Order: sequence, then structure tokens, then C-alpha cells
Amino acid sequence: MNQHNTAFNRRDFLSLLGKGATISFFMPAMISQTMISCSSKTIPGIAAGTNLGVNEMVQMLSEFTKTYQSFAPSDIYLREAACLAIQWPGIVLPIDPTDLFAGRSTQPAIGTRPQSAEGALGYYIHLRALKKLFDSPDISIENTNRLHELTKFWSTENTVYKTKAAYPPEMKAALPSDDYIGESGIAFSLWRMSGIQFDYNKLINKGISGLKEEIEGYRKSALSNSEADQFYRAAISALDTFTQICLYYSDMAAKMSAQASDSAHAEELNTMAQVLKNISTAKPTTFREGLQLMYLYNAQDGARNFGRMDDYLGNLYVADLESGKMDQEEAIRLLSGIWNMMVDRGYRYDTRLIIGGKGRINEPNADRLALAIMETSNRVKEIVPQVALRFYEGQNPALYQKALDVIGTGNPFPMLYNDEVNIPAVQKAFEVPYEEAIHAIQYGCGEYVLNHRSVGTPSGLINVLQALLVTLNNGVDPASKKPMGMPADRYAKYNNFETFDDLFSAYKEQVEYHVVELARHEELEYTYAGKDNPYLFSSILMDDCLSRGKSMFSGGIRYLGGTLESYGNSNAADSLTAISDLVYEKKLLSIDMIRKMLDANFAGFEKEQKMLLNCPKYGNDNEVPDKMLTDIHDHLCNFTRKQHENTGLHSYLIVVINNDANTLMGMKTPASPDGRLAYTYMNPGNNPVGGADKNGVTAFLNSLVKPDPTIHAGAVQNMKFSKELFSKNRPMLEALLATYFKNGGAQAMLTVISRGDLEEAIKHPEKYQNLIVRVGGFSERFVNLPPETQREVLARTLY
Amino acid sequence: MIKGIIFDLQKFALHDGPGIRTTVFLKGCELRCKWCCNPESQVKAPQLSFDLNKCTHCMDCVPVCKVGALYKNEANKLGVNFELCTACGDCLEECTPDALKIYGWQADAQSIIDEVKKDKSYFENSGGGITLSGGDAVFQPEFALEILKLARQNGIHTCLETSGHCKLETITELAKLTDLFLFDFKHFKDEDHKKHTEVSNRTLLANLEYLCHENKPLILRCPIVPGVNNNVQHFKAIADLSNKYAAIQSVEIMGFHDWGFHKYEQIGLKRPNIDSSTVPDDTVSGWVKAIQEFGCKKIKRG
Repeated sequence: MNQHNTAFNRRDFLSLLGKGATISFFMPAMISQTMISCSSKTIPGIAAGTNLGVNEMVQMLSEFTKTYQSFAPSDIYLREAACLAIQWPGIVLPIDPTDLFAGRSTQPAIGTRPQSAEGALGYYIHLRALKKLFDSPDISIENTNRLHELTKFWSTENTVYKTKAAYPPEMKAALPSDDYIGESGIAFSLWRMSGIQFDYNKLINKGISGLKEEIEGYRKSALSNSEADQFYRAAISALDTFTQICLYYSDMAAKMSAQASDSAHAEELNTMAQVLKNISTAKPTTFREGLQLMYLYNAQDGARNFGRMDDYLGNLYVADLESGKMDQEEAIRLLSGIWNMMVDRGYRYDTRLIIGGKGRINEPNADRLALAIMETSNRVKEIVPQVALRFYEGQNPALYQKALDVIGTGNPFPMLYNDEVNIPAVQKAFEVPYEEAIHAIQYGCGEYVLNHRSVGTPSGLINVLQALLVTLNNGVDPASKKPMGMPADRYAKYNNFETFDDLFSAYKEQVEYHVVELARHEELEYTYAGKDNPYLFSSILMDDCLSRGKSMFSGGIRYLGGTLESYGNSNAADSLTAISDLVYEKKLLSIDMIRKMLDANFAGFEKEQKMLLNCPKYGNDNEVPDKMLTDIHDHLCNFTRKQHENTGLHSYLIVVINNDANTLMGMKTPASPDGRLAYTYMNPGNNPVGGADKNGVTAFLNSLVKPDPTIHAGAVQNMKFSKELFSKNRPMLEALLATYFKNGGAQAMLTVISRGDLEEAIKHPEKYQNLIVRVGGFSERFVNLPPETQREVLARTLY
Repeated sequence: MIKGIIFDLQKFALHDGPGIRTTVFLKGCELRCKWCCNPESQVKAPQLSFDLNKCTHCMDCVPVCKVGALYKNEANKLGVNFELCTACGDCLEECTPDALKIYGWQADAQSIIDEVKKDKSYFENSGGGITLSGGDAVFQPEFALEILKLARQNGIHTCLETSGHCKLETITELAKLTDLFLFDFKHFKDEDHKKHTEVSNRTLLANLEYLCHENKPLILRCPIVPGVNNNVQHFKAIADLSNKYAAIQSVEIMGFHDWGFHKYEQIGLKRPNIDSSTVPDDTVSGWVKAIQEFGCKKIKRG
């Protein structure tokens, strides 16, 4: 999960918010200086234009704020319902002429949702959208002033601000920053309620009217004016708002239909209008209605992931096929329409869509839809949705085969998830029974949640490589030379790292110091999320909010979980392996010497760097470095897991996931004893450091299965294969993957090397040590071929 | 423990026998095939390789060389006297751009099997195993036998890739421990074989015959090199041989390529003088067809 979508320095703004009084005067100027080149198109969820003109938008924001202010702070349920009723015209975007569905959306400058752009949650204030309003040539003077007032009010009233204001001193010390892109540090906080995976089955099976009936049923048995009563009434109001939005779009589609010049297009829009009208209250009766309801509801909540689509839409899909209402081509056309909306919405770190696996209601129907979903991705070939296939022994083999077919064409999706490993792992890590564990699905970058039963937003990051570097320097950040991390007096007991154990123990204490506060921070974030919002759209579809009469973060969710993203794990392990070998065993280098060469970023220490680089590395099925990696992994995961005992969290687990935080944080991380240069990328997910795996793919896979999957909430691994392997040696590829999965492989993201990748291999051979190509009568590591041969191989072997 | 010299250990090898395999490359070969694409495999002893393209001519390696094999030449560039080099490897630590490397290292059979058996589950799921290649796997016969023996003890399927140029007793012993031979067939005519490989084909053909009579499964691997053996007589000889013996499971045709020729200069040898560049795919397909026309059915491209 990545919340990195800001091009300017958000830290400045956040510190500014703390000063409060000057903000209405200062902020617009600051934004205009720092955001001259910003383009709204680059921000996921923020589209170029809205339905409202700038003055109408300010008017809406003003009403939104007045509405908010008209409720007592404790009256969170009806306050949110009233705010939702006001804010939606600022969210909805017009239907594009080529759209098959309604539901394009943006985020107003001020609003409320579980996860908003710029890394926020609850009631938020959105700088970029604000700037656009201030900058608009059409904004009236009166509205400019109004906007200043609104900005001033929300700068201290937004949920993130209030949560930060509640930090105890220890948390402030351990988590000084949330700007992991702009600053170096060991641990950072993240702001969002991400990864909410709705009960889409319930939504599809009941429709809006069915949901309202259920809520009404609960409401009747709740005490009048109790908290539960307020929650139920607010939930019904939110659904009324949703109905209003459906009808709004239905009217829009009908009007567009009337104006369409071509009859086929008019018919298409007319169908859309009818679909929207039907789902505004009634439950969906066709595949198309199901898709529309799912997407529009998701967009209104601001959720970014799409659950088990083959499960919740499989029955409608098969019913329409069998009744002859549509054929498979039509289904793929409709799915493509949704895919295109997802692409434009732009949540490339999210937009997960899960197919396959145990725990689906009607598996044969779901399987049929899963095949159509994979074919749609095969044709659309985009970076979202991130389709993931769960599989188990005994599942219809056509799904796995189709997945390999699609991947073999160079498509990175679907990712493969092995139920045989993951279900038992989830049972243990989440401490839930099998019947719950079968519902574990991923969101975002690969974090697991129990589908509509749990939440587990990562509210923090830890850079364990930076933890090691600061430890090596006795509590000083080698980049800034300023104190960082655990207090300096804690180092005395480690005897200037006389032994490797001294160093390793100090590193562990450093990590633990941060994890304790990160766990408390997760709990605090949930508490403040619950204090401000019931998140009505989400809570309606999350277990057991309705039956308990409580919203998600006020006791409603069945499992209140949390996760912590960890980065630099393999670099840290390889660094410790090199130190153990060269400093403590062979005694060729001293810790002082290591500090010096890292400080110099190896300038003048090239031979020493080579010694470090030549030390054994994780990823080669070599016991020594692999054991170091599992030691680090076990410590980090187990210590983190224990934190649920110190908090009110049901679980608190590490995720070893893959996004660009490994690169972005690497850009702020100085040189490391594994030979890595300063301010360069760190390893992704559970992978070895790029290019460190030189012992062949089986050795690589054997290393990947060593870290224990039963003590965290998801780890991901990337694998690159040649196109030739997929096309000419498919049985061997299948044997390779089958063995990996049998040996404990939990997950695989396969990349098939295309011509472009080989060109990259020529430019960056260090990253492609394992790429073996078939050259005439022998196989060779691609990078060992002379340049001209590489070019020839490019032309001959692969194409 | 019996030790030997190897110059590579390649995992996930898919073209050296059935299934997923680990190929161990034993260093040293009696033959000097003119088209050899692995010149670093020819002599048994470890040897220095120098990649001029990577060298920055910093000269840091010169003082550490105790035998004077590395020197600054008249052009102020690094010069290498390969004849003096003892392959001690001291210079490698000095060479930050990795222009210097040593081909070959000593390994004992047990440590090789320990590394190989890490992939046993992959072998079992794919019908694979270990392949001994080279060089020529028969050039270090005791070492090869020990590895094969340990592979057998560990339940690992064994392949042996060889020219077959060794004593009959050696091939007899190896055959007891080898599940499948990958047997080279370079030229049917003795004098041409001598001319292009520097050894007679009599011994290896006798060994091939022995294996076939013993019904040891084998794959006949046939490099086809323009100007050497791309003629109908040789094609017919391949077809006849494959039809004569049921033990020959298949024939693999490998077209000539010069993609390993850059390595000759790197180890102080001259590039071979072959009057051909890398053979295009369709030419190889044409050869396969021509051999098929002589009645060879079990043929494929290698």
C-alpha cells in the first residue's frame, strides 16, 4: 500500500498546520510557490474536472462545513450522514461518452472518507484541490475569502491533525515524521484507513432496499436515541444518498441518450440509465447491474479494492449467459468497461481483485467468471486491476492454466496465491480458525485481511536497514549526523560492539523501540478514526457492524487488525552477514573501518566494497546468509506480532510487501555494509537484493521459501522468466512453479521477459544475473554474453 | 574425498537431458574441436581470464602478481603473459571492475552433491537430475565416478555428456552409474575427425558401440559446422547410426555458432579459424530435414 502521491513537501504543510493562526493568510501563497507544475492528472482519485463550477464547489464546501459544525462533536453518526448528503455532488464526475458504467469520481478539497488522497483519513483537507480552487480565474472574491475561512477551520479540525495532537511524548520521539519520501528515518507513520474489503456478496444479494430492510430490522430492536439507533438511522440516510446518486446518474445517462447522434450509442446510454434506475433501490438482477452497483458503491465510499469478484458476481454472470441475455464477449466488453474506469481512477497500488480459492459460495459459477476476468485482463493489458488468483489442490485446473497463459504473454497479472500455504499461515498469524482463514484475501500491495471480517491498514513503515545503520553509528543518523532512533544511553551495554551478538542485540533493541510505538500509533489512529467517523458506507458492509449496532472503529469490526510495512530486510541481512564474516570471523575489517567507508560512500574504498559485495548473499540457497535473513525476519515478525498484547488490536503483523517505498526510502538511506551505494534502492518485498541472486532460479526459489509465512500478514516476491520458457518449455515452467509452491511458496508475481527487459539487461547487467538464455547448443547467462551477441540473442532466441 | 576441477555449476538447466537439471561442468577435454565455444573448458587446470573491455588499466594488479604475469606494456596498458600465470587468484581482489577472473576451482564430490541435492524436489517433479558435462566429463574419470556414485546414493537421476574419448574400462564403469548418456558425434570419417578435433574417432566410436550393445540409453548430440561436417555423407552416417541402435533415444542437431569465441582471447588463445558465422535457424532446420530424409525419425534440434 502506498500513499505516495504528493509531489510537494507535505511535511511543510503539516508543520504549518500546527501553527494554526497564520494559515489562512499563508497557505495559498505557499501552495502556489511549491506546486506550480502540479498536475491533477497525476494524483490518483483526483480527476481533472468536476460537475461543479468553482463557485458552486466553494458553496458546497461551505455548506459541508456548516453542516459539520451544526452537530455536537459526539454526534458522529448523523453528522457524517448529513455530510455525505452534501458532499456527493463534489465527488461525482460526468459520464464519459465511451463509458459503459457510471461512477467516475474525484475528491473535493474538503470532505470525509476512510482514505483520501495526500495520505489522510476521516475529515480531510486536500491541498491540491484547494490550490486549484484558489487559482481558478473564475473564483469570486467572496468565495476566496470563504475558502480562506474554511482552510483555517479545517487545518485543525481534520482527523489527522487531531490524532497527531494526541501523540504521547514517547510516540513523538520514535515517530518524528510521516514524510518517508522527503526525510530519512527509521520509522514513519502513515495516514489512511486502507484495504477495506466490503461484503460485496451482501451488497449484490440484497441491493440497497434489502440493506435498508436489514438495518431497519436492527433499528427497531435498538433503544431509541441510543448510539446504535443513531448509527442505524445514519446508515439508512447514507443509503438514501446513494439512491439519489444512482438516480442522478440515471437522469444524466437518459439525457445523453436523447442527445446521442448515433442510435447504437443512444441505446447503450439508455441501457445505462435503466440499469442505474434499477439498482437505485432494487437488488441487481443482471451481471451488468451487479457490476454497476459494485463499482458505484465502491467509488462513493472511496474504497480502492474489489474483493472476490468471481464470488460475488459469478451467479449473475452464469445466469445471464445461460438465459442468453449476454454472451461471453459481451461480458468481457462490460468487464473491460469497468477495467477502463479503474485505470482512469489510477490507484495502481491498490485496485486488487481476487479470483479463485477456497471459501467461495458457488465455485463452478465463480470459476467461469474467473476465466472471463483473466481473459479481460489479457486483452486490456493495463497495470490495474491487480488481479490475483488464489488456488488450491483440487481447484478447477483451467484457472491456473489460464493464468499461466495470460502471464506468458507478458502480462504481470494474475499474481498467484497458494491457499495450501496461506490458509494455515493465516490461521496461525491472525489466530483465527480455518473457517475464517479461508476468507483471507489481499489488498493494496499484498497485505492480507479477512474478507469483510477484518481491517488491517498499515499505519506505519519501518526501514530496518536504516535501523542497522543508525545502530552501527551509536544512535546517529550517518546522513545528517543528528541523533536518531532509540536514546543514546541505551548503547552503553553493547560494549562498542565487541562481539557480533552485541551488534545484533543493539539492532534488535533499535527495531523494538520503534515497533512498540508503531503499534500504539496504529491503535491511536483507529481510536481517532472512530471518534470522528462511523464510515457509514463501509460499516454497512463490514462484519459485524450492523449486528452489533456499532461502526467499524467503534467496536463494530469483528477483527481490528493492524499491519506494519517493513523495508530493507534483505539489505539488512546481507549487511549483517558481511559484518559477521569480515569483521568478526575473518577480522579483515573493523567496525570503525566500516563506518568510514560507508561515510565515504566507498570512494577510495572500492576494494573493500568489493569484499563486501563478494560476501554471501540471501537468495542463493546458501545457509549462512539465508539464516541471517530468517533471523531478522523472525525477530521482526515475532516482536511485532506480540504487540497485540500491549494494545487493543486483535492482531498487529508485519507485511513484507512490494511497492516503490523500497526505492523511495532507499533514496534517503546511506551506504550499507552489504556493499550497496548510498541513496539507492533497497530490495523489494521478500526478494533478494537486485542482482545478488546468482545461483539460478531454483536456488532463488529455495531461498524465498525460507522466511516463515505464519508470522506475518503477507510477503510478496517477484520472479522474472524468459518468454521462451513460457512458450517452449511450459512443462518445465509448470514443474518449477509446482515445486516452489509445494515447498512452501506462498505467492508469486511472475514477469515474463520481453525484448524491452532484455534491453534493460544489457544496460543494467547487475540486475539480471539470473537470466539464462538458450544460445544454440548451450545455455548461457545473458549478462555474460558480449554485447553484440546479446543483441543477436535478442533478435533470434526470443522473437 | 575425491576432488576435481569444475568451472561452473548451473541450476535449472533444461537442455542437458530430461527435466529440470543441475549441470556440473568438469574442466578439461582431450579434444580440440575447431568450433569449440567453451575454450575455458579445454585444459584441466584453473586459468586466468582477462576482459580487456572491462579493464581500466589502473595497474593495481601488477604489484601483487608474484610471477610477473601482469605488466604495464609499451602502450601503458595492462599486459598479460598467460604462460607465466599460475592462477593463484591474488590479482582478483585488486581488480574492482572484475576484468580479471579465474576459470575453474577445486571441489570435492561430496560438496558438489550437497549443492545439487538442494534441488532434488525440482528433479523429482520434472523427471530431472544431475548432468555431468565439460570440458569432457570423462577427462576426470575418478572424480566423475565419485559424483555419479553419490548421486545414485541420493536417488538422483544421472546424465553424462561426453565425447566418449576414453578407455573402455572407464566408459564401462561410468555406464554402471549413468542413467542417460549425451554422446557427441562430430565426424564419421576418422581422418576428418582427427583434422578438426585433433583426435581419432576410433576409440569413441568403439565406446559408443559398446554402450549401444549394452543397451544404455543415450542421446546422440551432433554439432554441425559449415565446412566441417555439413555434408550428405555425414548426415547419412548420423541417420544410419541412429537407425542401427535402439539404445539411441534421439538425435539432437546443433548448428554452429561463434558466440563463445570472445573467450579465446580472454584466456590467451587465438580465435579459431572457422569459415562461417553463426548458422541461421532455417539452415539448421534444413539439415534436420536432410538427415530425416536418410530415414532418421528420432531427430530434433538441440
